Amino acid sequence: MEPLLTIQDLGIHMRTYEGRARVLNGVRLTIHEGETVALVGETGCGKSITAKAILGLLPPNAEIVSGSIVFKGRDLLRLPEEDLHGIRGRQIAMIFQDPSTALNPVFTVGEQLTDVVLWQGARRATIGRRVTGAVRRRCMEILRLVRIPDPEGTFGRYPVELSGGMRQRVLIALALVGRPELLIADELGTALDVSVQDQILLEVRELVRTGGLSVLYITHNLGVARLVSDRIYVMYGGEIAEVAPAAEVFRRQLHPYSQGLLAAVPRLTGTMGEGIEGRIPDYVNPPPACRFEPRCPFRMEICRLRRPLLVEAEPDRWVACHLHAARGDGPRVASGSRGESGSREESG
Amino acid sequence: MWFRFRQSSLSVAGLGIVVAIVFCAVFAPVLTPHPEHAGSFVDFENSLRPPSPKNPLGTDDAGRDVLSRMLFGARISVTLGIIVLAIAVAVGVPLGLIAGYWGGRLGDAIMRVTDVFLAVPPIALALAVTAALRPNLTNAMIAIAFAWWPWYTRLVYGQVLSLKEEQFVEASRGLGAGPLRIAFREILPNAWSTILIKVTLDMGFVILTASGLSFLGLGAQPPTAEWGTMIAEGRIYLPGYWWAATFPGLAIFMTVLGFNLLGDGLRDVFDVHIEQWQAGS
Amino acid sequence: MIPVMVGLSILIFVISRVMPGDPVRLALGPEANIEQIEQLRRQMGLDKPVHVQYFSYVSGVFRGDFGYSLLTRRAVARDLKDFFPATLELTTLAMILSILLGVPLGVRAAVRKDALEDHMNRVVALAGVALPRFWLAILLQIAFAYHLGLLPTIGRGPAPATQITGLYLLDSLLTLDFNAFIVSLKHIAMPAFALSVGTLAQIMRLIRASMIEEMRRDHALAARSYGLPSNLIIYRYLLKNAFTSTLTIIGLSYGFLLGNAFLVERVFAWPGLAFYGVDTLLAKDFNGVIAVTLVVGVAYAVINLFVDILYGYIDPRIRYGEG
Repeated sequence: MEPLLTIQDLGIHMRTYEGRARVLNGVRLTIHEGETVALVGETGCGKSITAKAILGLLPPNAEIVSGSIVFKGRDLLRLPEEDLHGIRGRQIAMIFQDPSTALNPVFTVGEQLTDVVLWQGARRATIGRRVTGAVRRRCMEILRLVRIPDPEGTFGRYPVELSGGMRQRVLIALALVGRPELLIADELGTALDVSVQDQILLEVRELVRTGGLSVLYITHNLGVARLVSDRIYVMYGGEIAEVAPAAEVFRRQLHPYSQGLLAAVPRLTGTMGEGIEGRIPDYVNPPPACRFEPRCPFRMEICRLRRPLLVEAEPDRWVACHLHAARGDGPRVASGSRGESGSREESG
Repeated sequence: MWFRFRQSSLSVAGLGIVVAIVFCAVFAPVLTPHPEHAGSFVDFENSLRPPSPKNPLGTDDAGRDVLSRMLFGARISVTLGIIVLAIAVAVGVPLGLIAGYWGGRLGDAIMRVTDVFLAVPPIALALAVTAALRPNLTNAMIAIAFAWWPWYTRLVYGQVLSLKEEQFVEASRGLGAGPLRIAFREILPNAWSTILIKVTLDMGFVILTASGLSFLGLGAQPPTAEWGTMIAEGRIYLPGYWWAATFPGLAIFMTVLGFNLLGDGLRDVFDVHIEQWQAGS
Repeated sequence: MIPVMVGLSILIFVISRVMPGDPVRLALGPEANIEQIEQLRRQMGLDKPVHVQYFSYVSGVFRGDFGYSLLTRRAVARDLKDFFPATLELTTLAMILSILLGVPLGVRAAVRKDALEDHMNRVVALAGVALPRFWLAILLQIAFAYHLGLLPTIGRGPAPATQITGLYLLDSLLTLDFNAFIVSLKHIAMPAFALSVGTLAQIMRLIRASMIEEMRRDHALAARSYGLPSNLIIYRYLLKNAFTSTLTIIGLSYGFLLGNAFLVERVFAWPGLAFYGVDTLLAKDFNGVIAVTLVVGVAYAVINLFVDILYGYIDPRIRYGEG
């Protein structure tokens, strides 16, 4: 079965004051229907840009230099703006990172919600439309769905009057009200207290399950990724470093960066976790071959000469690192026609 | 810094205009074809002649060469602007420093007085003061300075308040520097760029206000060749004899424009946000 | 605000009373003899010490008595009543014009950032601020009144048949006298426009800058991600956010409009407070001067107060404090 979303060899450059930053370099990613995929990486690795590229929300100084994003048979990068406009919110929706900035402060929750219900996908908003009973009912329905205890009251409140957790739920409501098939969650809950974040994550997971949604989770926290997703993509320096089923990544990591990530997670048992030495690459002048090489404890000569390609080193496990050859004889490179395999496809 | 300034062609144009005007002001006696026309000079035979090679901008009702008078007008306006702003800065900045740094009852009192002055639009205040004194150019300058200084106090006050908490001030205080020293050695150098920008922008507006006062008859009196006065005099002969009133207005416009462009350019270079503190409109 | 007003009144009072020259003598003319001068002086209370004068003046003001005008030979209060509405109408219309024109132009410039339209916008704005208002007024007069004959040269025109507020435009609308409305409109068009130019330019630039800043914000991006149409985002969401910063400028600008009204009213012989103010200044009619300055100061303060209230109404963060 065809995957819902396939990102193929995505390359994006940003024109900055310092020069041309090569922020995404051949990114590939697949999401199947009903699947939850996590994109994990530290701040600045390019995960948010990937998400924005899907919805066509890149800043004006971004330039797409290669690749495709195919959603239900259509390449989103080559769609005209009107078609993209029709997809936003109604087929693909995004839950933004910070609830205190993602909501317009001078309008009530109700106003923002009804605007989405009324005008989502419209070419132009006109003065005429009024808020009908059906519209209001839908708003209450979605507010209840995201477990807001007092939908009527919250409806009339301004974001500044709500707690962080409530605002987050409103953001989720806004994303879900259009009944999208694919949900992109950008650092869901990171702006909240840990306990509230956990609660939200579990609630969203439940919503996803009952709604049969597919989800792309963006996060820097491997623990969160483990909690919510089926498969994990580890991203570094604008490239995909490793792909594996969620549980597998925790048991054993193939890419040195993933190992470093896991070691950095603070444990309940008391160890604070260790950081990875070094800093994220300079995107204007990135390392010519492997972008992780300067920080890699296992670096070899070849790592500076040839860029490691994403290959299937083990069944359902892909990694871009010279330490791992592909399974079987010789490297089998992930090619366009096959795509990566999730847990569904035949991997021969 | 010059490089960044140069990047904006408008700013460079502004600088060019300002330089040109200052040049005219300084060298007016040398540049003008008829320097004696700047004062009281009468030649009724040549009264109200349209622009010609002999009088590039025409002559006014007393037969005086408009171009010459305009050049001297530049001298008057520029001098006026410098003096007024010098007074305003000399009075306003120290007051702002004191109010901001020492604070306390003295600071409150100063700011309260400043608020009173700011409660009335500057032009109105200048008008009121000019009327109290005899209407002439000197008094107009005093009046405008009187109306303008509170803006500098307010500006510096705000700057001091925000800079007071900065680390280098703490460090200085820790080293035992006295308040006077801190005020003048630490805080002032950081605030001066804002002050400079405001002064540049204000030059244009002060000249505008002064010419407005002269136009009303409350500033420079005839036969002084001030731009506003020239417009008032030439106005009676509109629309037929348009040159006497139109060109001085153009001069004012270019001057204000030049200083505004220059000020904007400086602001970009120093990267400061002071939109709220602009006096004039 | 109260102490400011008190300080202001003291300031103005002191200024006016220290005027050199003898206003009474000036008012009565060279023919007057000593007795007449002294009589008028006693009548106006000028023989008493300054602080007594001040207190009697202030108590007079609270009773609605602004003293006697040497210029018009009648109560200043009546002069105020006659002239204030004209200035109010002029400045308010100029303010409305600045907003009505400035906001859409600013939004367009922001949306079409760095395009030709944006650059032209910047040039126009710079010119607008630099133009001497009275010069522009004169040029407009030449163009529209003399050459084109479209608009009347000077004056306010006849009052509408029934006067309620003293604002001709409003009165004629309220009484449905459309002819009078057109006539008044024609008279007020040039002065209001000449007065509005500077503020228009400022508003235009400020809206542009605020909108550009707002467009970068997260909630703007979020709104786009929900599939909301761009005209909704720009004109409803972003504009409301951008407008709040403009509001403070509006309060400040009113002061400058009032100040510049002195010049524009002069050019157009508009019978307003500013026109009266200049005449009293020239004639050294101090009661008139004080009254005008006080009214201007109070009007300015009231406007700013109004702006503050409006600000709190639009931006709930002020009302509830940051959450």
